[in-house]
Amino acid sequence: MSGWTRFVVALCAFVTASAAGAEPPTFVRTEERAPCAHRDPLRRPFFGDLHVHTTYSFDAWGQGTRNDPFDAYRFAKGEPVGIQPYDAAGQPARHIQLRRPLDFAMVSDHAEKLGETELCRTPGSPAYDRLACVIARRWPRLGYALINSLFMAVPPASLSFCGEDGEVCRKAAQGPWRRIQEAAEQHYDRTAACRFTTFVGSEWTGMPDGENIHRNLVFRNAAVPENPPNYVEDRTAERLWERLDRDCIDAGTGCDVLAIPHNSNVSGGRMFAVEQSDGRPITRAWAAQRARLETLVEVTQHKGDSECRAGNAGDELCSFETLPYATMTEMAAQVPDTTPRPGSYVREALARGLLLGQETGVNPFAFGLIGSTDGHLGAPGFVAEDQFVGHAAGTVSARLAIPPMPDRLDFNPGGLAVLWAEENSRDALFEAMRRREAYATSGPRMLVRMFGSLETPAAVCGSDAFVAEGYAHGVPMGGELPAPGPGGGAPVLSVWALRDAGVPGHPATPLERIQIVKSWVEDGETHTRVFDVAGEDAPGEVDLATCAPAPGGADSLCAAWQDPDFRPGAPSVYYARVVERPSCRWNQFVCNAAGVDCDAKTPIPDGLGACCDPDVPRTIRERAWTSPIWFTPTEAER
Amino acid sequence: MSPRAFRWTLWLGAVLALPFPFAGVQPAFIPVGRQSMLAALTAAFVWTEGTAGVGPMVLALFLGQAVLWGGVCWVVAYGFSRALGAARPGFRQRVALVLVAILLGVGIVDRFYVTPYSQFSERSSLLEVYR
Repeated sequence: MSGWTRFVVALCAFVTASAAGAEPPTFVRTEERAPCAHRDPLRRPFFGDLHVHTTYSFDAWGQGTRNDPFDAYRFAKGEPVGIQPYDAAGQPARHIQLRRPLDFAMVSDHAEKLGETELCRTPGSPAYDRLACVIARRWPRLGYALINSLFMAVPPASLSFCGEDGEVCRKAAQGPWRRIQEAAEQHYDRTAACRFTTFVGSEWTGMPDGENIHRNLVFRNAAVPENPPNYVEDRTAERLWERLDRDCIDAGTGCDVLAIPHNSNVSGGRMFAVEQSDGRPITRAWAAQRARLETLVEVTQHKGDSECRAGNAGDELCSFETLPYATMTEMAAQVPDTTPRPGSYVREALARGLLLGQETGVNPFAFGLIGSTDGHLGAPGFVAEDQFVGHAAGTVSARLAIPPMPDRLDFNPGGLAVLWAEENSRDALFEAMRRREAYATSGPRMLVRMFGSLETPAAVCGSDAFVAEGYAHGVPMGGELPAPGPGGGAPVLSVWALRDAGVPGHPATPLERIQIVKSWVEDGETHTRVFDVAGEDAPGEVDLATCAPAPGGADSLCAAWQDPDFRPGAPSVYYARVVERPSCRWNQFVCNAAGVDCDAKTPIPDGLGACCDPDVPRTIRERAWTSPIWFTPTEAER
Repeated sequence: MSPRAFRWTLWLGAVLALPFPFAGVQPAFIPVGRQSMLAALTAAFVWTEGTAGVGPMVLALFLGQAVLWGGVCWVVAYGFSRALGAARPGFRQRVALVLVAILLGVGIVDRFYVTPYSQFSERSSLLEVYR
């Protein structure tokens, strides 16, 4: 059997390791829709993007983005869309298109300035001729800097035309908020085909002292609040959670919501602080509310990776798309600051959560992981390194002309969210998010399953029974292992990964290895260790001239790994990291396309000096991160 | 043309047409006149919207660099006027007209101003700079 045949067989076994069942769904339906024709009780992977901005976001509009939520969903479903720069007749200079459509997407425009943007861009509106709006339209880069920063101030300020209580802008925001809902409804496939799912959503853009505490809000169905919660009105995470409970979950309208934090890497340590926003200690109620509302964290996106800080001792693979800044302000000003700020990275938060769980009785940081793009072009899931055109919110702008280097070199195209769900519907996907059966990728569509159990699984890697046994005898990613009982053995983590299948003409990169990252608490302190459990490093490098990936690697990797250091009394958390062989980073594709030859005597084209800068990384190791599996000992076992 | 008028004419031509680098929110290569215009806009914004955010800092950047480069223009114009202090008024007038005409002419013909704050184009001619 050839390698490709083996891969296809493995892919079939991986995805169809179960037969579609006729049993009723295990999730609750909260909306009127046709049941999906293809429903798999053992769940399938759905790829999507839950962090997308359109022209309704002030920063995207200021960068010349004209795609609205309707365009964004068309793009996610595989249609081409135009992007800036636009000519005088309104024609875009270029079009972009996904090579593979997404299964789901959510437009998450900034809730702040939603009304201001609407008023400034609508001729005849009461604020259209106000100075701030005139500056935003006539001198967009100046307007972007001035107006955006008002919302980053402490306390955040709104524009004067919004009125003392902000009512003018709150009312104006209802227009785009309604259209966001209309776009989501129009593109949501409610037929039995279940081809594409949308979520109504928004971004709560909290930024005290320039430290990022942003959250994306995902609403389960069409029942949503009158206005999306915003940072000007709710200035702490606690206020946001109260608002979500009051205006959504407890409102009696059928509304349900999750908040997904992102960019903890530039939060200055605020995102996963071990105290409340006002400095008070964390209580059990606080921890429970956070754990209930924030079941996922966006670990990777265009503004860098938040898994672990670069140079993390003993883990060289932490140096992946990490930013050398501690806060959003430092990032904007490009002032490097690598001072460790505990509370900024997901890995340490998972470990801190174990400690807090011991102290308060509830782990507030029991979250799963997803990736998304945070692109501001209205182009969900546009993550291919060789197609990157910039993220359209920041210092590099394509509003007026296509820049030679499409974005800052420390940014990247972002990642994807993958949800294991029974079918492609809002309720099924939302419950996957709630139970954290999800994983993040840095862009490629590798398939990853992980189960944890307290017994050695009978099903070997690659068998059809892998998934059924995994569910029958353990818990999937995002789950919590039960206490082992007297004489119980160490947890066994079964991880199976298949490389991205790629598309014709654009093959994907083989896998290099699977690692298990374990954190645990012992003697009141947190510890972390990384284990290689499948695959291995191999010699060979990327061919930078052609961008052919480094040779070697595997189509499929699998391991059933038993924790060799298991301590029954120590709370532990495990997640898997699946790493591809090295491949070209987006900037190398740009340099190759421009024909830059650093050895030639000819001058390097304007704006492409970085192509020949030895300090600029040219390759990356794409990867996936699973949601963790937790082990929490009983009181008696501690 | 008196030395004083000569000096002012040269200075005015330079601040309106001679591009200088602007370091700040977005690097630019624009005349002092454009920097002053952006400073005035920013001042008006700060006046109406308050001092929260980066407004005061951006204003200081525009204003500070406009004053700096305006001062440089003044020193150069002053040097020229001293050098031509003994020349006949008619000669000074012709020199002033030629220099200003070159500045304006090149500025109008060539799009070498870098104008990231523009609504229209990242590269502008002199006429587009003040559009």
